[in-house]
Amino acid sequence: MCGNCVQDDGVGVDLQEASETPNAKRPSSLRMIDTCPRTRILAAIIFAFVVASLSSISSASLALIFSLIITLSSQKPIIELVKRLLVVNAFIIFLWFMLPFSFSTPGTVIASLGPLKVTSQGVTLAALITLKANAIFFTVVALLTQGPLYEIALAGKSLGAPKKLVNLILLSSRYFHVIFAEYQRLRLAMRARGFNSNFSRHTFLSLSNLMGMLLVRSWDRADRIHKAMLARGYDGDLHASSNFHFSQADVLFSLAIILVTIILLVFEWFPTI
Amino acid sequence: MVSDNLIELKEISFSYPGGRKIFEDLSFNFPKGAKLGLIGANGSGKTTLLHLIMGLIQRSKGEIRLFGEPCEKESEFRKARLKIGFVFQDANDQLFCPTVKDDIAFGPLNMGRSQKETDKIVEETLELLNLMDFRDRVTYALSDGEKKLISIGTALAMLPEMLILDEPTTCLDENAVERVVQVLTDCNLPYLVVTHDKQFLERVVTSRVKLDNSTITRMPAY
Repeated sequence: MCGNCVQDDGVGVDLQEASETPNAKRPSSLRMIDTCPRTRILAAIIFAFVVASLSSISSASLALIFSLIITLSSQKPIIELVKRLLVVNAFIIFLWFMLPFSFSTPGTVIASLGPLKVTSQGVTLAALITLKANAIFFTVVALLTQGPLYEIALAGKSLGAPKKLVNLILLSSRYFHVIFAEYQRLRLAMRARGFNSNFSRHTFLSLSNLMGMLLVRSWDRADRIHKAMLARGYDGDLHASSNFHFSQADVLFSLAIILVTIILLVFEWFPTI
Repeated sequence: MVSDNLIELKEISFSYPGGRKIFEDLSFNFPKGAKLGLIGANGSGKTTLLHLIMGLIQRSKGEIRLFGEPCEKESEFRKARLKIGFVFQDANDQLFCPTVKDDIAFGPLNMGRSQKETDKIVEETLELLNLMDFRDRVTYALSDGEKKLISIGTALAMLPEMLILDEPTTCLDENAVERVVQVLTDCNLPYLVVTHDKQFLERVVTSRVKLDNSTITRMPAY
């Protein structure tokens, strides 16, 4: 392929924008977007660990309430939240098919379906997992989907995340739309030749050829990009500038998260208060 | 009324969603049997015009008639598309199957031809292109010139009534351009060709039109 046919190899990995982190110009209101991505990553990690350690239904419920507050304050459209709800609970539903019936130590039987006995411990455990999984999932997603993905990757890098992981996220967020555009061009050309997808061998064969071609080209493109990067002195490290600073919004946000975790732990340790 | 035009555009307007206006009240006719060249500056909307004709993008206003039939809905465009062999600017956009044979067979199979008929068409197409040895070659590994010839072949395999070619000579060396000229001469079909390549145009078309600022004007013939 000759040079000027290549639409967008995007060899110049565009990371300059990353240096302009949204910093707190509004000291009065706590907007999550104003916080530094590093703070959000740390908050997500701390919250996830604390919630994972909870063992009572009441503290797990409280954690879910906190996570919903965090989610709502992230100001994402409701439809997106509902979609996420379905995704995470699609996995959890399988637990409900198994756990209530399979509690190993002799438990309190609260119902029976033929040979299957439903134990209250089994139900409690399933409920606990559901609450905790939702709480962690919603919080982590709300905290990490604020702002562009590359910002999170750069923040992860400055917190010492593995280099490979950081590069993977950076390059994926850069090239996803390039590959998608290629897919759309191929689909357009298929339509121009009268392709009409229906339930037939021809359709499946054509679509699998399309996917295969996309894979081969992405591989090839990755190779070209890599060579172009090497030509400019790439040594396995993306030296993207990132000047994150700890602002007033971060202080407020960190205090809020610390308060939440303390409340959760107190609730866990002294359930009778 | 039987029209004397294969393509008729009447007062077409088009703008990309949320973007600038590309065409306003553009009219254009492609007469039967024409070998017409379309020229115009970069960004004047030549490719957009071709995609509008094919119904791959939707106009906001105006009338399109292909082969005398008005085209409004996707189903009407689909019918007309099968009679127009469209060759994309970048052959890589067109060739997506593992081998040359599969790619040439894609169009005929879409038209509902049997495997046997399709195999015959593949052979005939390769013969016309003078690329008989390429039947089982991997499309991805072809040279740019070979890719272009094969992508013209994939259009010819649908046994169209006309061809539309978008920049068929970009990235090609003299030898490859020569073969494209040869194929266009041999296929004996009317065509509309968009190009910046003056030398090429002189050899393959009998008349020229220029697209500029939403108007198409006839250029002096060669």
